[in-house]
Amino acid sequence: MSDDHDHDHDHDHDHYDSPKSRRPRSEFELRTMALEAALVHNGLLATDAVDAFLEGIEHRMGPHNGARVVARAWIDPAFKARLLADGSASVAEMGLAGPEGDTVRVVENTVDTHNMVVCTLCSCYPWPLLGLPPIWYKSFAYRSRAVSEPRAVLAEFGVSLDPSVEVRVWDSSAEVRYLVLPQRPAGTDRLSEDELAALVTRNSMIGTAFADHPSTQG
Amino acid sequence: MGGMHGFGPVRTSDGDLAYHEPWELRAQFVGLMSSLTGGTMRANIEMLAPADYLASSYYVRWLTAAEQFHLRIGAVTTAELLEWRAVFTHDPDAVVPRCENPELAQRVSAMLSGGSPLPKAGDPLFAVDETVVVKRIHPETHHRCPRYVRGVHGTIEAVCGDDRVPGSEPRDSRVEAVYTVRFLSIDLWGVTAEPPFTVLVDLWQGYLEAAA
Repeated sequence: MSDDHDHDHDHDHDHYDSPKSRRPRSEFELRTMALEAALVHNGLLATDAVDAFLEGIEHRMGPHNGARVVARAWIDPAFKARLLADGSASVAEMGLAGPEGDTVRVVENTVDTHNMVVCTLCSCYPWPLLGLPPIWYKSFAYRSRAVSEPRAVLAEFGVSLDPSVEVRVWDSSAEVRYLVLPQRPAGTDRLSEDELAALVTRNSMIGTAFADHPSTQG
Repeated sequence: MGGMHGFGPVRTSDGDLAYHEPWELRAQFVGLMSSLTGGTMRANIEMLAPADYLASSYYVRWLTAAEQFHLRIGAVTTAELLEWRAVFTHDPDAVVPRCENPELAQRVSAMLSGGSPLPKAGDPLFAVDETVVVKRIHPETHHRCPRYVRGVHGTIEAVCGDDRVPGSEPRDSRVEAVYTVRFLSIDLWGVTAEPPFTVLVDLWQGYLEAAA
């Protein structure tokens, strides 16, 4: 079978070590390459389809999308009302529906309520709005502790809440994907939608951070 | 994993990285995009032996589950995998062969910015604010009822819509209403060191019964 991998190197994608670097391939990289090669060889995998998906999730999807949704909700009360009532329709309206994100519920953080999101079963996450989940979101530590000691977890992220605040932890155990609408920081009345979006961090939309304050940004 | 102890801190030196090495994403999407997995690997990942599951990183679980699935159904053989592995081990210039399917790639690209939400529940058994209890079940096959809520009373927060029952995928599957159920921390964990809090879990109707 080694005759059919001598192909046009222009197609070489960047998910494996480049031959030119001569870095020894790791055990897992070799296993991944072998599995992909066998599936392609057996007609079970289309390389360009894999590339298309990866290009989308790495480059088109990401927290910049979620941040646009949040910023719009902060400046447009009618949009915010629709967003909280029907997240799926509102993100679809913005062209931000997609795999792992076609049924969306947006939950609002207020002075009285702090929402945070976890998936205790695997690592479900709203891909179109937030992209790939961070390693900590997929960790056993987060998956086990977010539902049993959320304030201790939040403290690790530097988030401390008054004891009177109700903490609501959403375990996305089915097909609904959750996005937290963080509180709008004080002193942002004059900012444009784009400037507001720049304050909306990924973690603030998972619920493990507040949105940035303009004064904390460089 | 809800409520398990001993995994240490959430924050590590990884910061907010999504992955460490490029093969990790490749392994995840090779598994998802194989024409045989039906776009979901959850059940296969859960079939890993528990000791392997806990000893493996997230992406190693994806890789191992994809290997085991394709070996189990005979889509690839151990000999083939070893042969390819030898090629890539011994020849640093060897690259993975490609198969082009522009029509499929086009559809994937289009699918990334589309999709439709779950249909509204046709005939939900439970209503918002109704008290329910999660059944004590112990299935051996794939399901999505977290262990930490079984036997616990909760309140229907929302009716999410109708969805296929996990485990019955892919085609001839039953459809049931899915609910968001609200649980109080005291009912899940007893008195905690933290002030009481709320946990909301999405559960298929078959996992629930009306509270007595």
